[in-house]
Amino acid sequence: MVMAMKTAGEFRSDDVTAVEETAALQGQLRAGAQAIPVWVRHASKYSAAVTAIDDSALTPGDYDALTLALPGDEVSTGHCRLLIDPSLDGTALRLVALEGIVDFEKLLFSQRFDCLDQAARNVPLVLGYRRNLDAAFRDHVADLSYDLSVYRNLFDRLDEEYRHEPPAVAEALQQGIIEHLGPQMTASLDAYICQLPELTADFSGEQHGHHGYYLRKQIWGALLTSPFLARTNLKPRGYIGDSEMMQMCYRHQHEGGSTFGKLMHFHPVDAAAAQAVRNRRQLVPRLARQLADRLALPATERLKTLSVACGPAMELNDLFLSAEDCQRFHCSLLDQDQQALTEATVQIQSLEARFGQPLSVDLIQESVRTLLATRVLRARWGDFHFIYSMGLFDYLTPPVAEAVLRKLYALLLPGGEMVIGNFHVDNPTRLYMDYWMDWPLYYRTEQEFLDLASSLEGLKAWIDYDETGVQMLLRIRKADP
Amino acid sequence: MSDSITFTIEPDWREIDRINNQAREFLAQTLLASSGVDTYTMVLSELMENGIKYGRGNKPIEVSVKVTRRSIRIQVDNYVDAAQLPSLKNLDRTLQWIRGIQDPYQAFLERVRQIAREPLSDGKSCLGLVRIAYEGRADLDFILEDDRLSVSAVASLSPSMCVPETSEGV
Repeated sequence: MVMAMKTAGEFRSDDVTAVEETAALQGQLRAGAQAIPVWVRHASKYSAAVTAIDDSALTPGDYDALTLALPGDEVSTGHCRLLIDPSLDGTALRLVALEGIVDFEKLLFSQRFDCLDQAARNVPLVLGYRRNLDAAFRDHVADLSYDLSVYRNLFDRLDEEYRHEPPAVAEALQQGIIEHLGPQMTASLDAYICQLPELTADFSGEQHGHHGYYLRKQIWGALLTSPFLARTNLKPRGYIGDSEMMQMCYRHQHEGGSTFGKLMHFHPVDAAAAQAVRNRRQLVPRLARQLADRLALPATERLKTLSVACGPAMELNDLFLSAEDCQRFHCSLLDQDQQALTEATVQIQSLEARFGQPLSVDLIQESVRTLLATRVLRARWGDFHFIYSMGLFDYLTPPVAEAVLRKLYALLLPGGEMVIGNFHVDNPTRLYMDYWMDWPLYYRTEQEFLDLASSLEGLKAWIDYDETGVQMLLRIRKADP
Repeated sequence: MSDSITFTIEPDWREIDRINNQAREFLAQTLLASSGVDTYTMVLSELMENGIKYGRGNKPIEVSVKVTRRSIRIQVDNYVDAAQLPSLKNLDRTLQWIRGIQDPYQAFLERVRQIAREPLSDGKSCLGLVRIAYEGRADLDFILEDDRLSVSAVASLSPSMCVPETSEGV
């Protein structure tokens, strides 16, 4: 039973003010065969003030359980302890649940029973992951974990040595260490990652997931020192491949709070897949400019572009190269993530400041999965000469990828072009991404990529690549009328 | 060789058992071994229940299944009204979260933990979808086209999920 204490009924008159706005639950304190009816009210997040309903004095000490009646349910704290606390009013004692860390604020104010240590219930399942591991893979992870620990100790000790130097000296020393000792660690990481294809060649999909989880757990501390690896693993925005991850690839720098962390960060942002991300940033504006030249639009007409899942839209820096370009291009930027659009806005403002004139840009916050009907899209945004999407199709299954492509194609003007990116199935960084970064993608072959466009009519479709061969591009040109 | 079937069901909870049996019978006639039949009957059932739960009133629900030696694709299409948009946005977030984790079992454990800590309504828990990902090892996705919602599960089939090659054509 839950009641708001609006009447002083069971309480002394001097308690009324204190408890008037406080929810209280009626419960029973159990010790052996004894059950004492009590009022339970808020004392702190993880403790409750308890008074006997008949106003008799309670005895401090351990009890078997506090049971409480919630609507449709009875909950029990298990083993608990009553403590004397002079800060509580009257005869109340402070109750702490010992068997589970009970959140009394949720219990009293939201009538929800929540144990802070719920995760502990999964521990046997998680520990069970040790079983059924491939022996060679287990050895690999043990060696990797040992080596990472050696390098971490080495670099942390060096960091400590020069910690009190003037900042400029410390920075120079760290750069020297990264330059001269870093390659040794980088070569070691490369060697471990090179072993993954052979080690996992016969794994099923389930085994890949299982072993990947084990590897990450074993080197978790090392992963978290790298801002990039921490982000890919923790996914703070709830999805993988967010705009900050892209920015880290673009910056391509040693970032992190320690020398070890900086080396751990730089290794993945220097990998082939990250290079492909940097390459596509330059590739897209080049293709847009080529199309503008081919279409030779009148001076009064801008080339209308649409970027789908635009992220921070860093490619605009390579599209708008002069003040004249501000009159040449109109850009619509679509992303599900408001934060990504905010970062894109920063790019736009920076370009506007550089060229002293406004850019013609629309920002659209929308997910491709719940995108409006094509007729509404056209009415709202118009048609486009150039539509591109670089970090999206790697996350779409074939049925959805086909549908999104169809929708976008309907927005393409005759003679216009689309460029869609997808990582190639032979991406050499694939296992590194799967196992270390927890970054699974939907990889495609050339044929699978082309098949997505097979139901579209009146087009020429072909495949291109960036210099690494990792970034595959589906290029589509819509026939002139 | 591939096997495929397309059928329509009424948005009626009483249909579920009948449809499950029908689906199981169909899957049993495909290349799938018995463990695969069990797994993908569960996937199909979860998706159909989802379709009934979120489908609009009396509009029928379309179901299609395609099985090849390499993969299985299950898709459920139903009509939704604008009131479902917040649920779909939640579905979008959940699917991206599930798909962003290499090991679906990890996603399942995490979801169970979240639900234990913050009781969520059925519509928000999406536990059935997480189960599809980890038990069916399937990539889930959806798209809304006008008012037609298509939810699909695509999974690669390991040899152990299929009957031996020599039995093909059963």
